[in-house]
Amino acid sequence: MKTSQASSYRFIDPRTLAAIADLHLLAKTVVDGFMLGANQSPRPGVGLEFNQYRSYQPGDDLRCIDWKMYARSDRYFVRESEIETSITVRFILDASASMMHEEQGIMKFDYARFLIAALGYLANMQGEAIGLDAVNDETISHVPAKRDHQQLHRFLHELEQLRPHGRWPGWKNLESVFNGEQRRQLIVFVTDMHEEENEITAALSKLSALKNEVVLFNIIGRNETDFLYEGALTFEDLETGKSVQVDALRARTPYVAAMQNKLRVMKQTLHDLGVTNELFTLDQPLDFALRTYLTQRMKLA
Amino acid sequence: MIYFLQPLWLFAGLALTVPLVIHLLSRRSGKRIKVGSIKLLDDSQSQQWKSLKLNEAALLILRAALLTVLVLLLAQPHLKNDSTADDSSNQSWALIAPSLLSSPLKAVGLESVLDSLASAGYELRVLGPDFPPLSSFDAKINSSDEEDYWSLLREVDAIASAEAPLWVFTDDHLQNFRGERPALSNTVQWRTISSQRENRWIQNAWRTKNDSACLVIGFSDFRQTFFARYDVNVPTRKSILSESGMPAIEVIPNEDGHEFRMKLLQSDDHPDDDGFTLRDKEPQQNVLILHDVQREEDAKYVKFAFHVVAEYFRIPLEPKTEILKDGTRKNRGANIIFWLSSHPTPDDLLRSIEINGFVLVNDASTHEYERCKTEMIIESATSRPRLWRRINSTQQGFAVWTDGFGSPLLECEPLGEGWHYRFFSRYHPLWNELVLSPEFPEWIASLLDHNKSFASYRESDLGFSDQRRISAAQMMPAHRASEAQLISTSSSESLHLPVCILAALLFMLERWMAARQST
Repeated sequence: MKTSQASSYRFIDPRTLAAIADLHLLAKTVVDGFMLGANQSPRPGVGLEFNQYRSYQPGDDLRCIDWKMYARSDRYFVRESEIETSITVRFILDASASMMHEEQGIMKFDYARFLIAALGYLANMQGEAIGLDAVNDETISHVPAKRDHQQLHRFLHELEQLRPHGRWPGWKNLESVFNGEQRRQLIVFVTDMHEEENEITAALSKLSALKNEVVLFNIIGRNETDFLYEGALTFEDLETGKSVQVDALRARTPYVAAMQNKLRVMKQTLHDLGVTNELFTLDQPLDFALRTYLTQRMKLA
Repeated sequence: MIYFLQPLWLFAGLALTVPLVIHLLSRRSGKRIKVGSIKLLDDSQSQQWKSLKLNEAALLILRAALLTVLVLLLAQPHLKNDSTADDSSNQSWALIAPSLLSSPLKAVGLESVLDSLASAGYELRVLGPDFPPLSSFDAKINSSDEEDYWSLLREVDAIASAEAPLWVFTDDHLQNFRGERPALSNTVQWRTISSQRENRWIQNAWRTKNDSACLVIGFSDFRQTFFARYDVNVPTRKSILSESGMPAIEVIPNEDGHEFRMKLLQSDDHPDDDGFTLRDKEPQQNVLILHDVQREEDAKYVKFAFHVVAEYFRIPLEPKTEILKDGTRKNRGANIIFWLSSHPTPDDLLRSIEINGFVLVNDASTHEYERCKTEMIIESATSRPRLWRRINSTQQGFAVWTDGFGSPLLECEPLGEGWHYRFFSRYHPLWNELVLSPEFPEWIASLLDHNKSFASYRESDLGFSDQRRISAAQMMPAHRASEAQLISTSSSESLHLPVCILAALLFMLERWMAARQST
């Protein structure tokens, strides 16, 4: 019963998710489906939040014995609580115009928002501090990382308000936002990697240099990798507004080759920077992103 | 050879520029797709331009072909079948009228001309039905007096090619040129051979009295044809009449001496002319004009009109007038009766007309007239006498004359053997102008035609001896641009159906190809 339910939740098409207007509900749907049946195994230890009692065993720290329980039951019990391992997760969303790229009814920007909402929900549920920075060259929407109950609402509300616009700004504009934080944090960077002159790569390198764990979720369309267009077409660049006339059939081979090359180079560069790079196509369910997140989360534990 | 019935439609071929323009402009557009980045597409741009042009060129050619076929369809192409024209058009013709062939060619001075034409490659043919070659033509069998050179030339023009001039040799008798002067696409060299002939003939001859006769002699030469009238004494035996200005005439009585043949003496070119038999004197024609006292003047006009007719035709005609006292009168052997009275015509008079085949003429039967201001429409008349008064008409017979409004003015109705005329006006200058016009005695004379024996006085047959010539300026056919050559007797076939099928095929191909390109 449980498995069938799990599988039915597990692979929700992003297009189906797009029909859900409320990001909270969306995130809950995705995460609950994902986490269903998964065993949470927080490490037990000394902490503020009570978890369980267990009988004393030789080797246990005497300080951990609950003397009140001893008085009541005349037996040694050790009070255990979950170890506080919480970290700060910062989501950086590329809010430039190129994220408006749309395929099969779903926009890259929406996909990125679903992704961030789901991850944010999951992180919040697990007690992490979550923060959001949506970046383009006009505005930087900043939701500072916090751990309280209201944070998820702030987070999701901000996410809902965002609209893609403009381009990716230079590092100078971003410096002030990212340099202030001293703690080590997990940075989830969601972008399409469409850059004019390595500005996103530069930002990534700066961020990873600050001892952060950076995960790059590169969102890409199926048409962008495989160039599935046909006939004579005019392509318009969403950021620059330039257009180019192309006969799709003839352009396909050189384009696909160029794209493969670009991805290979990017992969190499990111690897050198120590950035974990994951490629998402727009028709891919979000579960994959959650699993990647959890893997990366483990590294920081 | 393909030609077009509506070549003006070929200008619609300018529509070919439309697909051309469309194809030129459509290269700029194309489905617009917004993508994140076009960085990777930049390199292949120039290549795409060329390939775009190439891909659509086939479609453009197809569309242009479709338009061309549609334009051809509108221009109504026909395939001219040249097979009939080929054999005759290669050689030019020299045509000789059969009337010139009745005498040896040398006599008319044609021999040398025809010889040189034949050596120049001309085919010698006869200007007659089917244009037989000159060598196989027998003038004695096929010769006929009357030809129509103009219509024959039209026929030649349709068959012969326009490359070399046509040579035509004919006489120049006016009677052989009839109808409308043709416009030919061939150049025509027309030579006429004049025969200096002057014709005289006896047109009519009849006795006016026992010992005298009236002769009408026709004269015709190259300028004119005219008729002269002579009063001659009729001899009792064979003799030659010669009066001043009159050609000498031989009078030959037959055996019993009652019948005379009159023959012109110098009719050398008509040896078979057996002369004209002198007509007998006509029996007296009695005309009775019955009138009221008020219409005495009318009666006078009618009476004098009869005098004029009698004098002109030299016929015995005795018009008598009589005043009607009690409105009744019996016919006493008159052939023509005028009843000029407001009294109705008595029945016994009508009956005698019915039986004896006489002519009765009534005029306005009442004194009540209506004023009008119109004309009398008389068929074949040179003038239109004005009409001021008339009475109402109730049509019974067929209308001979009408007034300017189309209502009958004189009507005629067969009455047994005879004829009954009703005139809805009067023979008086106060009523109309008829009695003062030349149409009046003319009409009076036509009344006499109801008497069959008398009709022969007026018959005429002028055709055969007309010797007038046509001038060269009148004769030459107009020249016409040779594209008119296309409208010829040679058979042609409409290409409508095959062109339609081709257009449909092209259209389907174009749709299929366009659909394939757009997907």
